[in-house]
Amino acid sequence: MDGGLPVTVLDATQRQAVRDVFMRLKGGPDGVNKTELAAVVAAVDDWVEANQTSYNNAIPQPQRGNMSSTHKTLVLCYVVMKRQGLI
Amino acid sequence: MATGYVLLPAACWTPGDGTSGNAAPAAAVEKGSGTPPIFIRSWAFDPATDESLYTSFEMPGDYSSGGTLTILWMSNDTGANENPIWACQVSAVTAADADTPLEHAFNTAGTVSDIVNTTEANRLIRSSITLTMDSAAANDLITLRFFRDADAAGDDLTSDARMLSCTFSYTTT
Repeated sequence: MDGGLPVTVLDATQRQAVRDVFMRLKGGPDGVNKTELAAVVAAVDDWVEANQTSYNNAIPQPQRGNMSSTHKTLVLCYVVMKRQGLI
Repeated sequence: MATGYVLLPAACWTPGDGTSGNAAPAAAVEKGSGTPPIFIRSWAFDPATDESLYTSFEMPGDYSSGGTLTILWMSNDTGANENPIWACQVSAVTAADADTPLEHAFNTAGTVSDIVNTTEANRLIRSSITLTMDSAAANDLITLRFFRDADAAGDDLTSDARMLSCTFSYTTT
């Protein structure tokens, strides 16, 4: 296994699902309306798509070859969340 | 002729049963920061899923025409151009109608969409909906379906919209 993050951008329904979860869990105002939030989610999804190879290459071998795409995704999420103090 | 009122505070409303298409807002009691604190019942309407409340009352005997639902609500969001879409439908049943109260369909929804207060979170906002009254008459059983049309394209508020109280007003005889 040497795949990075999941290889396809989210479709419209999936991006809506992300927006729905974010709105319910964001825990406070952010001055962003739904239209603006849709643009944020799309931009982040596109950024992930554009940078997944770079991310995957940042993982040292042999872990890069041994870890599943799911586990690589979780590590990225946990690192970012810990940096923000969310976990 | 004058204006008549039917007060419909938060405690008057019944939530949907949560089955498909009948989602309900969360019931809450808001607590203030003063001493003693103030406690206010509210219903928190989700930003993504349509959620509904229902209430029924006898139309007053002095009802002549019209119908407006005024909503007192708030949100903890302050962004410019953030607005929920509030909606309300009316069902009016006269005694001995062939349609029973549980059979009679709601009429067309009236809506209102006001932007949140951009100065401070949780300032009180007052909005009004002109209702389609379903040929209502004095002494009818009136049932209102009140909901946030959260999945409509024009609902742009990313936070809960919290209803504190409503008032139904009409023109008297």
